[in-house]
Amino acid sequence: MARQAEQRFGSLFWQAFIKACGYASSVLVLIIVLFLFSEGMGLFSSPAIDRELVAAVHPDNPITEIDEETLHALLGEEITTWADFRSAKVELVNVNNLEKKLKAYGLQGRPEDVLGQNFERLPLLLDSMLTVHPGMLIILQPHFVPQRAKQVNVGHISLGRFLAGRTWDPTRSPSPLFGALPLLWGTILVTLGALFFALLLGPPVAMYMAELAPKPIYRWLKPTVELLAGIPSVVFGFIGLVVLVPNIQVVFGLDSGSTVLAGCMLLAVIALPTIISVSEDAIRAVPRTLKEASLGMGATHWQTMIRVIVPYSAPGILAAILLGVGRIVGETMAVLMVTGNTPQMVGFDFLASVRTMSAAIAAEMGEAPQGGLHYKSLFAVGCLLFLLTFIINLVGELLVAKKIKQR
Amino acid sequence: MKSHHLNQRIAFGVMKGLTLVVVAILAFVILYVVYHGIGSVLSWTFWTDVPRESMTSGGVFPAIVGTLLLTLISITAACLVAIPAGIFMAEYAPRGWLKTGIDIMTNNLAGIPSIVFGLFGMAVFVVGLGFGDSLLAGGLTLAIMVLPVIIRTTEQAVRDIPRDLRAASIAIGATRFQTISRVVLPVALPRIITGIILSIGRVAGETAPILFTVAALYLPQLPHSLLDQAMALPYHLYILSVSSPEPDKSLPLAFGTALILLILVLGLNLVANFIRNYYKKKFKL
Amino acid sequence: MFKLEAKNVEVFYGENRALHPIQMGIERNTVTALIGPSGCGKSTFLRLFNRMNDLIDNCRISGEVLLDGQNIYDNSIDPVDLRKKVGMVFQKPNPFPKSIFENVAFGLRINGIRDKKYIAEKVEKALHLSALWDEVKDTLNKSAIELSGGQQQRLCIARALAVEPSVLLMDEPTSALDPISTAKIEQLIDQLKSEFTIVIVTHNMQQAGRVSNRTAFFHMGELVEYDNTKNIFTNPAKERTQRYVTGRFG
Ligand SMILES: Nc1ncnc2c1ncn2[C@@H]1O[C@H](COP(=O)(O)OP(=O)(O)OP(=O)(O)O)[C@@H](O)[C@H]1O
Ligand SMILES: [Mg+2]
Repeated sequence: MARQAEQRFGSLFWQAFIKACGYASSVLVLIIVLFLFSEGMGLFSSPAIDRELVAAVHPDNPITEIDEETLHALLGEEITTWADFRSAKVELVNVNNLEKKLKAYGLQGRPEDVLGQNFERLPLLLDSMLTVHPGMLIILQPHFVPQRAKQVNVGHISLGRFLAGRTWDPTRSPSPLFGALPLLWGTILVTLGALFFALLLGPPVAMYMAELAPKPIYRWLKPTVELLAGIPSVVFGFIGLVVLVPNIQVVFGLDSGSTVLAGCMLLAVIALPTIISVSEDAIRAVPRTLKEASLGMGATHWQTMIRVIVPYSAPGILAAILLGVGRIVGETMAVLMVTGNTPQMVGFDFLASVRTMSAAIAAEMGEAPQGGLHYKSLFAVGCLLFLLTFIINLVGELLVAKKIKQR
Repeated sequence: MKSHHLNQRIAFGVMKGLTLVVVAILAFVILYVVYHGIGSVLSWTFWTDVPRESMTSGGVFPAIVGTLLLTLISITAACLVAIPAGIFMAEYAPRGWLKTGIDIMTNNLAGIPSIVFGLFGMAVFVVGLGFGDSLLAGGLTLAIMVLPVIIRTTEQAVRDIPRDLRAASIAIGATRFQTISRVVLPVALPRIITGIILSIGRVAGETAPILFTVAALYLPQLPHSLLDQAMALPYHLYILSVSSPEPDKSLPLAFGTALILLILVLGLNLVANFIRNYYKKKFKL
Repeated sequence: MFKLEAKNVEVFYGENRALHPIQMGIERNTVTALIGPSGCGKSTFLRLFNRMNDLIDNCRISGEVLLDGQNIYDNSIDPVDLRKKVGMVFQKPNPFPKSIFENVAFGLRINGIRDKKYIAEKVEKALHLSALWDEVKDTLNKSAIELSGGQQQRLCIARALAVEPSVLLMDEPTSALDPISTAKIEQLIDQLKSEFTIVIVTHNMQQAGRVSNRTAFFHMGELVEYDNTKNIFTNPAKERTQRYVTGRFG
């Protein structure tokens, strides 16, 4: 009896454990979303200048807040006068032009000699400059800002500028540019190209495997595809680097072979196994009777494939392609290694160099100080990447699920 | 009539040709790496030595150890949760919205790009829990990445156990739990193991998730604890191929590293296939 | 008192009625054959006695089923315990992919028995009972999957007998077997009836005639006729029975 009780308890414990684990993936997805978005969305509640900097103006200047748009216009010298402040001329002082401005103000010799080893006397000097140039806008570390100057709030980085900004320059000082559009476009361009190659190969090969391949050949083909799926993407990236890139450079006469094209070709290969296996399953799921009916009416095998099998399995093949796209979009190492890694808007130039979203995260996270704007912006890119793959995969899964229900 | 047959011939020929292309790609990758990497791999010091002279000579021993440890940690951690989760999905989860919900979430998890796992691992394990760049942080990140794969294989393996086997066990008076633990699981185990073996290949070859959670650029001494950084083969290959000071000298080492990774994946695939076939015969399933 | 008794039992699968109210008593140490055309509810009826229908989601049962006078659908009854007293053998031999020994020992082990000697004794006894001992005594550690179909089925019988049930339910136990194996199992049933109460579903009229004391004829979820086997086959009371046993429908 005691033994039975002990057994019962043991099994109850394990059953509880099993049930708890059952929710693991759901909980994990939620936690991942939570962390990703809490870090990433932090970008949009941060001022548009570097964390350790503040902006300050003449105390009489009525302005109290500079929004992101105005800031960039000021920095880009598109706005040169203060509209609300007697049209005073804007005199920008920041880390980049500090020395030049000081010289212009009449400072002789090395700034260190005049202002002290750590620029201790800089605030004093700026104070006097402020009197001469009331339109001054100081963007510096807080301890350099003169007592008299009035600190102004800098507006938050906006989601719109993040999504639509055409420049990704996360280390620009004092105000980095987080326009994710070049990264997004890089991903899209690479995906489109990869899709071209993958579509050329994937569905026909799946068709061959499901319909034509004789048993002995199939027995080799299937493990081949599985093996292809198993090869680490960094190995593909490496092969791309030593084989594709130099050849592309020679064939197209480029300065560098690290191009979108190289990325497309590699990613196509990486996505192929997914596309082939899922399509193959979809094609195999076509009911025998349907096929036999068509063959029985005198259609050739090929006609049957095109007119019966392909239409019937189309949703499944589409799902396969979407799942493949999901892989391509998220793939990191291979693109990082062969696409040249330059964040720029390139249009439809497949011989240009781009930086994709995933590559940006991989390449820049190492240098981004933890908790800083750059760090947060990479998380924001991560969120974007997550959402993109999430939607693509979800549609793919729904298609597969729908197919299964129909059966 | 004739033209139909001609069409068919052409179409089938094209399909065959494209299939050949895919096979050729794989063959090329393997042969190319073997050809250029065999020299390095056949030398004993490549396996046992640390990288030397800013990675232009020496071996990859610390990276091999690092990858082995990472794999061990991540697979153990993943299995601990994923196998029960798979059993839950196959045996306990009631049909309906709950199961559908968990299904969708699991598929979601499987579709998350590996670099995003890297971000997550960094935010949670490295920073949040304060593990720092460490084997533990990297291992757990990789574990989360393969979790859905192992859940799915377990679920499918358990689900595919014939009904009458369960019925037999229940009819003798076994409880549901006894049926699962003594009949279903032992029979499903080979397939679960096959899935795990394939996951090992995935974990060992992944780079993106370990970039900011564990990987060390150069660390000749081996890790002493779970909280130490480590080198890893895939990251080492990446470094050798993109940021070597003397690319020409690093190239043979890079090929060697790539070959080790290939051998690993190839070997794991072979073992997995062997187990699959062996048990298929043995259990006549 | 009957060993088994169905009292006004009805079974529904969802909205569909599988069994109309059935009243039937089965005597201790007899063999009862259930016959009838496919889909008439024989298996459904048989599975009532060890509550295997419980495993089917949409299955609903009303009425009472008594084992030794006690209603096995009573809330106080644990179906797991019940199934230890009522063994079952299935249509297709379904040995576990374990050794022959472990197959038979399974029922003992799940009851928490660890005494090796005791288990070995019980296994041997069960294998003797199922007339398999002489064929497998030297290969007890061989995988059960490697046995022939007929041997597998006798192994399944041994597996069911090892936990010493008092009732044995058999659902078309020979329909997947060759004639020689079938003959062996029929012989076995004959021997077992001195110790067990056996209920067997069969599509084979001759088999029902050979092995059973009493026969129940089902048709479209109704118990049409239930009588001594001899009467059913030679002098049935109902015309439907007559037509079925002479092979004119079904
Ligand atoms: N799991 C189930 N769900 C729904 N309906 C079922 C289920 N099992 C059986 N039925 C229905 O109940 C009726 C009786 O089925 P049962 O299996 O008892 O017949 P049977 O007499 O054993 O037939 P056979 O000789 O073919 O084995 C049939 O109409 C069948 O369709
Ligand atoms: Mg039946």
